[in-house]
Amino acid sequence: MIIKKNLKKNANLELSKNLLEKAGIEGKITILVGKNEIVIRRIPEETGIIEEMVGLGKNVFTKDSVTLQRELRAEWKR
Amino acid sequence: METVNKIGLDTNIFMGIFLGEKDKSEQSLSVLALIHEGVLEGVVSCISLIEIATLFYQRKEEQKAKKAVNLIKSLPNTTIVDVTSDTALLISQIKVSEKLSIADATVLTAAIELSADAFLTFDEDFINIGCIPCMKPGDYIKLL
Repeated sequence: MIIKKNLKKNANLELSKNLLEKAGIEGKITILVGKNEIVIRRIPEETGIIEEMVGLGKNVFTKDSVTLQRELRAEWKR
Repeated sequence: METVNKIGLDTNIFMGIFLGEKDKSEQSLSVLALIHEGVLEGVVSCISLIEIATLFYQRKEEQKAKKAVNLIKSLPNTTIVDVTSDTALLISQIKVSEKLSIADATVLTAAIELSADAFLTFDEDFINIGCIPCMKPGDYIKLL
């Protein structure tokens, strides 16, 4: 399958879902146009990784994230 | 956008999301979304994975520890940097020059080693770091 796109500098293009379905490609294809390079990436199907992260530690900890980190790193000094 | 920017992520970026801290997680989630889309590349020290797992293990949350680490490892466009004998000298140099703890220096060195453009953290101890720009995720997004 040959896809023709008009590329401009600094463009951040995403190929349409319809086009990808026709080509049998799962996930998303993005094209980043840089000064000296064009980066084409395939992003896997949305797996909800980020959504699963949110609130995983809710009601587990009583302190904020920076305090937890600082206290843990202070243990290196023991 | 000239090229795909690479950014180091501190432990508290992930912990803020796990804790659902409203003031922090919104900007951190925006950065993770950009990493997921391939607009940015993430760099995470294996020390951060150890820290996150330890925090959950300390609360006897073994399953959540494993899940948290696996979720981070599953993030696309993200490199987990191991501590090796090759990085020992650089970590030591950063520790001394930036007056950091060994843990802070090790996490920061992962980003420096992979030539990251910035290190994202909410810990203000990193504000005066000179070897790499350190900032909050929200401040970094404003620069894009």
